[in-house]
Amino acid sequence: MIDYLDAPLGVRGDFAAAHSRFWERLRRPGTWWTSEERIAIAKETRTAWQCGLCQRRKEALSPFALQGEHESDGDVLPAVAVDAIHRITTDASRLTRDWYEGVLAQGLSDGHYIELVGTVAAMASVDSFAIAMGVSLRALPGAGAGAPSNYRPATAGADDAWVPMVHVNNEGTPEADLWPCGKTGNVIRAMSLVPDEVRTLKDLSAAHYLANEWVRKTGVDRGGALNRSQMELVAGRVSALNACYY
Amino acid sequence: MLRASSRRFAEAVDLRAIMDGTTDSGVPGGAQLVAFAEAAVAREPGAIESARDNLVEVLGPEAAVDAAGVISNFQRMVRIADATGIGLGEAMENASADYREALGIEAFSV
Repeated sequence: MIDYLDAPLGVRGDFAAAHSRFWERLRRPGTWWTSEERIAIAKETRTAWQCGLCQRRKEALSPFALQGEHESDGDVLPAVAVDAIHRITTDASRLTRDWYEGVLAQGLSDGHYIELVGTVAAMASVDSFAIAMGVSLRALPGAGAGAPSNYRPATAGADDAWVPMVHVNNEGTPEADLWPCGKTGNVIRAMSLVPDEVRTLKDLSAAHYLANEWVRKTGVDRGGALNRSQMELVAGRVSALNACYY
Repeated sequence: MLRASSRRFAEAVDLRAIMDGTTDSGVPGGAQLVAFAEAAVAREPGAIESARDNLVEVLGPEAAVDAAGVISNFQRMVRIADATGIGLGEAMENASADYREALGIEAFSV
Protein backbone atom coordinates (compact mmCIF):
# COMPACT_ATOMS: atom_id res chain seq x y z
CA MET A 1 0.00 0.00 0.00
CA ILE A 2 1.14 3.51 -0.84
CA ASP A 3 0.88 6.39 1.62
CA TYR A 4 2.05 10.01 1.68
CA LEU A 5 2.44 10.42 5.42
CA ASP A 6 5.99 11.71 4.84
CA ALA A 7 4.81 14.58 2.59
CA PRO A 8 5.40 18.15 3.79
CA LEU A 9 1.69 18.90 3.25
CA GLY A 10 -1.33 16.80 4.18
CA VAL A 11 -2.30 14.71 1.14
CA ARG A 12 -5.92 13.73 0.76
CA GLY A 13 -6.46 9.99 1.01
CA ASP A 14 -7.86 9.40 -2.46
CA PHE A 15 -4.41 9.90 -3.99
CA ALA A 16 -2.86 7.11 -1.92
CA ALA A 17 -5.91 4.92 -2.53
CA ALA A 18 -5.84 5.35 -6.32
CA HIS A 19 -2.08 4.86 -6.48
CA SER A 20 -2.34 1.75 -4.31
CA ARG A 21 -4.96 0.31 -6.66
CA PHE A 22 -2.61 0.89 -9.59
CA TRP A 23 0.19 -0.86 -7.70
CA GLU A 24 -2.19 -3.80 -7.12
CA ARG A 25 -2.90 -3.92 -10.86
CA LEU A 26 0.84 -4.08 -11.52
CA ARG A 27 1.01 -7.11 -9.24
CA ARG A 28 -1.44 -8.94 -11.47
CA PRO A 29 -0.94 -10.10 -15.07
CA GLY A 30 -2.28 -7.63 -17.56
CA THR A 31 -3.99 -8.21 -20.88
CA TRP A 32 -0.78 -8.65 -22.89
CA TRP A 33 2.12 -8.48 -20.40
CA THR A 34 2.84 -10.57 -17.31
CA SER A 35 3.10 -8.91 -13.90
CA GLU A 36 6.91 -9.25 -14.04
CA GLU A 37 6.92 -7.47 -17.40
CA ARG A 38 4.51 -4.76 -16.24
CA ILE A 39 6.72 -3.99 -13.26
CA ALA A 40 9.76 -4.00 -15.56
CA ILE A 41 7.96 -1.38 -17.70
CA ALA A 42 7.32 0.68 -14.57
CA LYS A 43 10.99 0.46 -13.52
CA GLU A 44 12.14 1.39 -17.00
CA THR A 45 10.14 4.63 -16.89
CA ARG A 46 12.29 5.68 -13.94
CA THR A 47 15.53 4.66 -15.63
CA ALA A 48 14.63 6.64 -18.77
CA TRP A 49 15.04 9.96 -16.96
CA GLN A 50 18.74 9.18 -16.38
CA CYS A 51 19.38 7.72 -19.84
CA GLY A 52 22.19 9.47 -21.75
CA LEU A 53 20.85 8.43 -25.15
CA CYS A 54 17.45 9.92 -24.31
CA GLN A 55 19.08 13.18 -23.22
CA ARG A 56 21.05 13.40 -26.47
CA ARG A 57 17.95 12.61 -28.51
CA LYS A 58 15.95 15.23 -26.66
CA GLU A 59 18.51 17.84 -27.68
CA ALA A 60 18.76 16.63 -31.30
CA LEU A 61 16.87 18.30 -34.14
CA SER A 62 15.24 14.94 -34.87
CA PRO A 63 14.85 12.24 -32.20
CA PHE A 64 15.26 9.64 -34.92
CA ALA A 65 18.68 10.85 -36.08
CA LEU A 66 20.63 9.36 -33.16
CA GLN A 67 21.15 5.62 -32.72
CA GLY A 68 22.61 3.95 -29.66
CA GLU A 69 21.81 1.88 -26.61
CA HIS A 70 19.55 2.98 -23.81
CA GLU A 71 20.71 2.76 -20.22
CA SER A 72 18.27 0.03 -19.30
CA ASP A 73 17.18 -1.55 -16.05
CA GLY A 74 17.22 -5.24 -16.90
CA ASP A 75 16.64 -7.85 -19.56
CA VAL A 76 12.98 -8.72 -19.01
CA LEU A 77 11.70 -6.59 -21.89
CA PRO A 78 12.51 -6.71 -25.61
CA ALA A 79 14.64 -3.86 -26.94
CA VAL A 80 11.75 -2.43 -28.95
CA ALA A 81 9.70 -2.09 -25.76
CA VAL A 82 12.59 -0.45 -23.90
CA ASP A 83 13.01 2.08 -26.70
CA ALA A 84 9.26 2.82 -26.72
CA ILE A 85 9.20 3.31 -22.94
CA HIS A 86 12.14 5.69 -23.04
CA ARG A 87 10.77 7.74 -25.94
CA ILE A 88 7.24 8.01 -24.49
CA THR A 89 8.65 8.98 -21.09
CA THR A 90 11.15 11.61 -22.23
CA ASP A 91 10.12 12.91 -25.68
CA ALA A 92 6.56 11.85 -26.46
CA SER A 93 5.56 14.94 -28.43
CA ARG A 94 7.92 14.05 -31.29
CA LEU A 95 6.62 10.52 -31.88
CA THR A 96 5.19 9.86 -35.33
CA ARG A 97 2.91 7.38 -37.03
CA ASP A 98 5.92 6.01 -38.96
CA TRP A 99 7.70 5.38 -35.69
CA TYR A 100 4.62 3.61 -34.25
CA GLU A 101 4.32 1.42 -37.33
CA GLY A 102 8.01 0.62 -37.00
CA VAL A 103 7.40 -0.56 -33.44
CA LEU A 104 4.74 -2.97 -34.72
CA ALA A 105 7.05 -4.12 -37.54
CA GLN A 106 9.63 -5.02 -34.89
CA GLY A 107 7.21 -7.48 -33.35
CA LEU A 108 5.31 -5.62 -30.64
CA SER A 109 1.56 -6.16 -31.07
CA ASP A 110 -0.81 -3.20 -30.91
CA GLY A 111 -2.24 -4.65 -27.68
CA HIS A 112 1.21 -4.89 -26.10
CA TYR A 113 1.86 -1.32 -27.20
CA ILE A 114 -1.32 0.12 -25.69
CA GLU A 115 -0.76 -1.65 -22.38
CA LEU A 116 2.82 -0.36 -22.37
CA VAL A 117 1.61 3.20 -23.05
CA GLY A 118 -0.95 2.91 -20.27
CA THR A 119 1.66 1.74 -17.78
CA VAL A 120 4.20 4.40 -18.77
CA ALA A 121 1.54 7.10 -18.57
CA ALA A 122 0.24 5.94 -15.18
CA MET A 123 3.79 5.91 -13.85
CA ALA A 124 4.22 9.46 -15.12
CA SER A 125 1.27 10.43 -12.92
CA VAL A 126 2.28 8.56 -9.78
CA ASP A 127 5.94 9.58 -9.93
CA SER A 128 5.38 13.21 -10.90
CA PHE A 129 2.93 13.54 -8.02
CA ALA A 130 5.62 12.31 -5.61
CA ILE A 131 8.15 14.72 -7.13
CA ALA A 132 5.76 17.65 -6.92
CA MET A 133 5.00 16.82 -3.30
CA GLY A 134 8.69 16.56 -2.43
CA VAL A 135 8.72 12.90 -1.37
CA SER A 136 10.77 9.98 -2.68
CA LEU A 137 9.37 7.79 -5.44
CA ARG A 138 7.25 5.08 -3.89
CA ALA A 139 8.72 1.54 -3.90
CA LEU A 140 7.30 -0.60 -6.68
CA PRO A 141 5.39 -3.76 -5.77
CA GLY A 142 6.71 -7.28 -6.23
CA ALA A 143 5.52 -9.30 -9.22
CA GLY A 144 2.56 -11.64 -8.98
CA ALA A 145 1.91 -14.85 -10.89
CA GLY A 146 -0.41 -15.67 -13.77
CA ALA A 147 -0.74 -15.32 -17.51
CA PRO A 148 -2.08 -12.37 -19.54
CA SER A 149 -5.67 -12.71 -20.76
CA ASN A 150 -4.99 -11.59 -24.39
CA TYR A 151 -8.50 -10.07 -24.42
CA ARG A 152 -9.24 -7.93 -27.48
CA PRO A 153 -12.51 -5.99 -27.77
CA ALA A 154 -14.53 -7.20 -30.75
CA THR A 155 -15.51 -3.65 -31.73
CA ALA A 156 -11.97 -2.20 -31.78
CA GLY A 157 -10.85 -0.97 -35.17
CA ALA A 158 -9.21 1.76 -37.21
CA ASP A 159 -10.34 5.21 -36.11
CA ASP A 160 -9.11 8.75 -35.50
CA ALA A 161 -5.70 7.61 -34.16
CA TRP A 162 -2.65 5.53 -35.07
CA VAL A 163 -3.97 2.78 -32.80
CA PRO A 164 -7.24 0.82 -33.03
CA MET A 165 -9.98 2.05 -30.70
CA VAL A 166 -13.36 0.84 -29.47
CA HIS A 167 -16.16 2.69 -31.28
CA VAL A 168 -17.51 5.68 -29.38
CA ASN A 169 -20.97 4.08 -29.47
CA ASN A 170 -20.17 1.26 -27.04
CA GLU A 171 -23.68 0.45 -25.82
CA GLY A 172 -24.40 -3.25 -25.40
CA THR A 173 -20.74 -4.23 -25.58
CA PRO A 174 -18.47 -5.55 -22.80
CA GLU A 175 -16.85 -2.09 -22.97
CA ALA A 176 -20.06 -0.20 -22.11
CA ASP A 177 -18.65 0.78 -18.70
CA LEU A 178 -15.69 2.66 -20.21
CA TRP A 179 -17.66 5.81 -21.11
CA PRO A 180 -21.27 6.94 -21.56
CA CYS A 181 -22.33 5.79 -25.04
CA GLY A 182 -21.30 8.31 -27.68
CA LYS A 183 -19.82 10.75 -25.20
CA THR A 184 -16.09 10.79 -24.62
CA GLY A 185 -12.91 12.28 -25.99
CA ASN A 186 -10.34 10.51 -28.11
CA VAL A 187 -7.80 10.65 -25.30
CA ILE A 188 -9.98 8.25 -23.31
CA ARG A 189 -10.75 6.01 -26.28
CA ALA A 190 -7.03 5.92 -27.16
CA MET A 191 -6.46 3.23 -24.52
CA SER A 192 -9.60 1.22 -25.29
CA LEU A 193 -7.92 -1.60 -27.23
CA VAL A 194 -6.95 -2.67 -23.69
CA PRO A 195 -10.10 -1.82 -21.71
CA ASP A 196 -8.39 -2.21 -18.33
CA GLU A 197 -6.09 0.65 -19.29
CA VAL A 198 -9.13 2.92 -19.66
CA ARG A 199 -10.31 1.73 -16.24
CA THR A 200 -6.92 2.62 -14.74
CA LEU A 201 -6.98 5.99 -16.47
CA LYS A 202 -10.45 6.75 -15.09
CA ASP A 203 -9.46 5.71 -11.58
CA LEU A 204 -6.35 7.90 -11.53
CA SER A 205 -8.09 10.86 -13.17
CA ALA A 206 -10.88 10.83 -10.59
CA ALA A 207 -8.31 11.38 -7.82
CA HIS A 208 -5.96 13.73 -9.67
CA TYR A 209 -8.36 15.84 -11.69
CA LEU A 210 -12.01 15.03 -12.22
CA ALA A 211 -14.21 12.00 -12.76
CA ASN A 212 -14.44 11.47 -16.50
CA GLU A 213 -18.16 12.20 -16.64
CA TRP A 214 -17.45 15.70 -15.26
CA VAL A 215 -14.65 16.65 -17.63
CA ARG A 216 -16.88 18.03 -20.37
CA LYS A 217 -19.09 19.85 -17.88
CA THR A 218 -17.07 23.04 -17.77
CA GLY A 219 -19.10 24.52 -14.94
CA VAL A 220 -18.14 21.68 -12.63
CA ASP A 221 -15.17 21.50 -10.31
CA ARG A 222 -14.38 18.91 -7.69
CA GLY A 223 -15.31 21.13 -4.78
CA GLY A 224 -11.69 21.21 -3.66
CA ALA A 225 -9.27 24.04 -3.10
CA LEU A 226 -8.93 24.92 -6.80
CA ASN A 227 -11.81 26.12 -8.96
CA ARG A 228 -12.20 24.83 -12.50
CA SER A 229 -10.37 27.74 -14.14
CA GLN A 230 -7.39 27.26 -11.85
CA MET A 231 -7.34 23.55 -12.66
CA GLU A 232 -7.56 24.20 -16.40
CA LEU A 233 -4.78 26.80 -16.27
CA VAL A 234 -2.49 24.18 -14.72
CA ALA A 235 -3.66 21.54 -17.19
CA GLY A 236 -3.09 23.82 -20.16
CA ARG A 237 0.35 24.97 -19.02
CA VAL A 238 1.53 21.38 -18.40
CA SER A 239 0.27 20.38 -21.85
CA ALA A 240 2.06 23.31 -23.48
CA LEU A 241 5.32 22.60 -21.64
CA ASN A 242 5.11 19.08 -23.03
CA ALA A 243 4.40 20.50 -26.52
CA CYS A 244 1.23 18.41 -26.69
CA TYR A 245 -0.97 19.28 -29.67
CA TYR A 246 -4.04 17.51 -28.33
CA MET B 1 -11.35 23.87 -21.35
CA LEU B 2 -9.88 26.95 -19.65
CA ARG B 3 -11.77 29.21 -22.00
CA ALA B 4 -15.01 27.30 -21.53
CA SER B 5 -14.77 27.22 -17.75
CA SER B 6 -13.84 30.90 -17.52
CA ARG B 7 -16.87 31.78 -19.67
CA ARG B 8 -19.05 29.59 -17.49
CA PHE B 9 -17.92 31.48 -14.39
CA ALA B 10 -17.80 34.88 -16.18
CA GLU B 11 -14.08 35.23 -15.46
CA ALA B 12 -11.69 37.26 -17.60
CA VAL B 13 -8.85 34.92 -18.51
CA ASP B 14 -5.92 35.55 -20.83
CA LEU B 15 -5.32 32.27 -22.66
CA ARG B 16 -1.83 33.39 -23.69
CA ALA B 17 -0.68 32.31 -20.22
CA ILE B 18 -0.93 28.72 -21.44
CA MET B 19 1.85 29.24 -23.96
CA ASP B 20 3.77 31.99 -22.14
CA GLY B 21 4.05 31.47 -18.42
CA THR B 22 5.03 35.11 -17.86
CA THR B 23 1.61 36.34 -19.05
CA ASP B 24 -0.85 37.22 -16.30
CA SER B 25 -3.68 34.75 -16.80
CA GLY B 26 -6.12 36.67 -14.63
CA VAL B 27 -6.83 33.48 -12.70
CA PRO B 28 -6.50 33.89 -8.91
CA GLY B 29 -3.09 32.53 -7.89
CA GLY B 30 -2.34 31.96 -11.57
CA ALA B 31 1.31 33.03 -11.41
CA GLN B 32 2.00 30.70 -8.49
CA LEU B 33 0.13 27.81 -10.13
CA VAL B 34 2.06 28.26 -13.38
CA ALA B 35 5.38 28.48 -11.54
CA PHE B 36 4.63 25.25 -9.67
CA ALA B 37 3.65 23.52 -12.90
CA GLU B 38 6.81 24.69 -14.66
CA ALA B 39 9.07 23.55 -11.82
CA ALA B 40 7.35 20.17 -11.56
CA VAL B 41 7.53 19.47 -15.29
CA ALA B 42 11.23 20.43 -15.22
CA ARG B 43 11.73 18.05 -12.25
CA GLU B 44 13.87 20.59 -10.39
CA PRO B 45 13.60 19.81 -6.64
CA GLY B 46 14.73 23.24 -5.40
CA ALA B 47 12.43 25.12 -7.74
CA ILE B 48 9.55 22.77 -6.89
CA GLU B 49 9.93 23.36 -3.17
CA SER B 50 10.12 27.11 -3.61
CA ALA B 51 7.14 27.22 -5.99
CA ARG B 52 5.10 24.95 -3.73
CA ASP B 53 5.83 27.17 -0.72
CA ASN B 54 4.77 30.27 -2.69
CA LEU B 55 1.57 28.56 -3.75
CA VAL B 56 0.80 27.54 -0.17
CA GLU B 57 1.26 31.15 0.89
CA VAL B 58 -1.19 32.46 -1.72
CA LEU B 59 -3.82 29.72 -2.03
CA GLY B 60 -3.18 27.42 0.93
CA PRO B 61 -1.82 23.88 1.41
CA GLU B 62 -4.87 22.06 0.03
CA ALA B 63 -4.56 24.05 -3.22
CA ALA B 64 -0.91 23.02 -3.55
CA VAL B 65 -1.86 19.35 -3.17
CA ASP B 66 -4.70 19.72 -5.68
CA ALA B 67 -2.32 21.46 -8.10
CA ALA B 68 0.20 18.63 -7.75
CA GLY B 69 -2.64 16.28 -8.65
CA VAL B 70 -3.62 18.20 -11.78
CA ILE B 71 0.01 18.59 -12.89
CA SER B 72 0.65 14.87 -12.57
CA ASN B 73 -2.67 14.03 -14.21
CA PHE B 74 -1.65 15.89 -17.34
CA GLN B 75 1.85 14.44 -17.30
CA ARG B 76 -0.09 11.22 -17.97
CA MET B 77 -2.64 12.50 -20.46
CA VAL B 78 -0.13 14.21 -22.77
CA ARG B 79 1.84 10.97 -23.08
CA ILE B 80 -1.29 9.02 -23.94
CA ALA B 81 -2.28 11.57 -26.58
CA ASP B 82 1.18 11.80 -28.12
CA ALA B 83 1.90 8.06 -28.10
CA THR B 84 -1.36 7.10 -29.77
CA GLY B 85 -1.63 9.78 -32.45
CA ILE B 86 -5.22 10.68 -31.67
CA GLY B 87 -6.99 13.37 -33.65
CA LEU B 88 -8.76 16.22 -31.92
CA GLY B 89 -12.18 14.97 -32.94
CA GLU B 90 -14.71 17.14 -34.72
CA ALA B 91 -16.16 18.87 -31.66
CA MET B 92 -12.80 19.89 -30.20
CA GLU B 93 -11.42 20.84 -33.60
CA ASN B 94 -14.31 23.22 -34.23
CA ALA B 95 -14.30 24.64 -30.71
CA SER B 96 -10.57 25.33 -30.64
CA ALA B 97 -9.71 26.32 -34.20
CA ASP B 98 -9.49 30.06 -33.53
CA TYR B 99 -7.23 30.01 -30.50
CA ARG B 100 -5.06 27.07 -31.65
CA GLU B 101 -3.88 29.30 -34.47
CA ALA B 102 -3.72 32.47 -32.40
CA LEU B 103 -1.75 30.93 -29.53
CA GLY B 104 0.66 28.98 -31.73
CA ILE B 105 -0.54 25.54 -30.65
CA GLU B 106 -0.52 24.44 -34.31
CA ALA B 107 3.29 24.34 -34.01
CA PHE B 108 2.93 21.25 -31.82
CA SER B 109 1.29 19.27 -34.63
CA VAL B 110 3.66 16.46 -35.76
